[in-house]
Amino acid sequence: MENRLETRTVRPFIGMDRLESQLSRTVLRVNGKAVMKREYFGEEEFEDLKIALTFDLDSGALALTAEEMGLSIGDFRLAVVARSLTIGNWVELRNWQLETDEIEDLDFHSQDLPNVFCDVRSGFEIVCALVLAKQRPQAPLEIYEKGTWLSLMEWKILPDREVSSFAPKGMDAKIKKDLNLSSKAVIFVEAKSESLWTARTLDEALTVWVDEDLLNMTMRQNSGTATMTEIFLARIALEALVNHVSRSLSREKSSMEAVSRQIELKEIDENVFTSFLKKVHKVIGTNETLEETLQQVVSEPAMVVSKMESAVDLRADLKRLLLKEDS
Amino acid sequence: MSYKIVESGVAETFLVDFLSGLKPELQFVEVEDDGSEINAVHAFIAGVLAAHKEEASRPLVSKKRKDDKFELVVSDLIHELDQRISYKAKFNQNFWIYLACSTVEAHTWRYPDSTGDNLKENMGFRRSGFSESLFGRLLIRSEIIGEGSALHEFVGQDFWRSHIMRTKYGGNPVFAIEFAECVLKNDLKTEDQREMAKAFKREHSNLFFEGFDYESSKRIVEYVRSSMGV
Repeated sequence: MENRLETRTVRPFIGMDRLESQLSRTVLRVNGKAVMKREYFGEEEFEDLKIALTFDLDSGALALTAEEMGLSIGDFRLAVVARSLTIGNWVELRNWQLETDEIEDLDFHSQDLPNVFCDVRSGFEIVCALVLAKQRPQAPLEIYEKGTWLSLMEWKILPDREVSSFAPKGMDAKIKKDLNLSSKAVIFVEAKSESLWTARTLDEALTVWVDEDLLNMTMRQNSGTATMTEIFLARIALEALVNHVSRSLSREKSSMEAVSRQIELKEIDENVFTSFLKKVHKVIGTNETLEETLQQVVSEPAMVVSKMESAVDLRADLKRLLLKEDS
Repeated sequence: MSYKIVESGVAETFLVDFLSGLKPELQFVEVEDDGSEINAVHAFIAGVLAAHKEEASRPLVSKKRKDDKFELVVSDLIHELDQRISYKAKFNQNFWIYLACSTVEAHTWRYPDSTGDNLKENMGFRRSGFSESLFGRLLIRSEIIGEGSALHEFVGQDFWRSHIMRTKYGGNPVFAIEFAECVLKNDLKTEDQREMAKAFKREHSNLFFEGFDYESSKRIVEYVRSSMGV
């Protein structure tokens, strides 16, 4: 049988299980939306985010547990820190001493700390932690190190670069002329100057142009022909994308093993390309490693397209996007 | 006021032309922005190129150098620039690509053995993260170290990249400085730095490094170093 390795955090301290839930009722809301672990917002929204953190510490239970552990409420601090994921430095937002300070809910606007909250490139992270505030004598199974965290909550707010924001665009006569196409051209796949590795949206790297009249027809009509056309367009968009991705990967000097390792170890910033590759890996489902998926994208793009289209409802996705753009 | 940006695809073409001996014109786009001082940007570019000329006889031969004047000069320049550009420019990847293209000579000198790929990585328009590029790395380091520290001369690319910038615990500047000073003071070998980093990662399971003050940072660094006997 194959050996498997699993990483586990070992926190062998008595009473820790009761303390760890202390912050579980802390809620982060961004623009009114409660954030579980991570939430995505449109790039344009980062300029105007309302960030609210509400605490619900059970101080009675905390005091009781502390006493059982030979501690007092004065031994705890509640720290709230945040960082831009591009720069990475933690900034202290609050550091309350539980015995003397009043814990109050926090409200920020992204402009209050733009070097953190306006990081539209990579997003930001907020962490709050209940920590031991004083150094104690070392004893078996007891917390003693100042700075040991007792309860922790963390959230990430990330720029929305979903792959699904990719949709065919209508081309009128002027666009056709700019693209050096015949006025009767129906479909054209344009590779842009932005590399997939650095593009913020797929549209920056690739555009699938479709004759405007044809696109409008599929939008306005509810006929079988229109439905077929929608599926056809979605298929072309997906195929163009997978082929573009396949070409980009095959141009890589590094091995697919190195690229997949970099993606998994997050040595490459999370971007639209890495998101897409992870999505492909998930959808294909039969490859054990990301490296195998990347190899397959390079060697069998047609097979990947086929598996992708059967796993997602292309037509519904496309219609939703086109309607959204239209409104 | 405004700042300039260059798309990665345009930058790649620019670099290919530059490396083939042409003198390509950089195609940039100007973005309106009240918060960024254009003069500061131009001063930065001029400063990097001047540093390049002064240090031209000393290409980067070791990633571990502890006396690198080029990094010292550019770190100071980037620290100054950081104070005078808006967060909009700072978080715009294509602004940094513009800066890298504008100082392409310094980059080609700095990485003389590079094929185009490594150069692109250091100029910030390859797949790697911001912290893998020369300016990205120096900006992040400058935000950690602050002004006027001897640590700016400590290139230690492996150290900063692997043990500080890619880690969560390294995001606390107070701790990062303590760790860096310990490495310098004790002249720790790469293997010892790695072992210390692994120990910090393990300790991070229990300790909230993110909120560590000077005293806690010093204690944990000393504890890990002495328990390793280095």
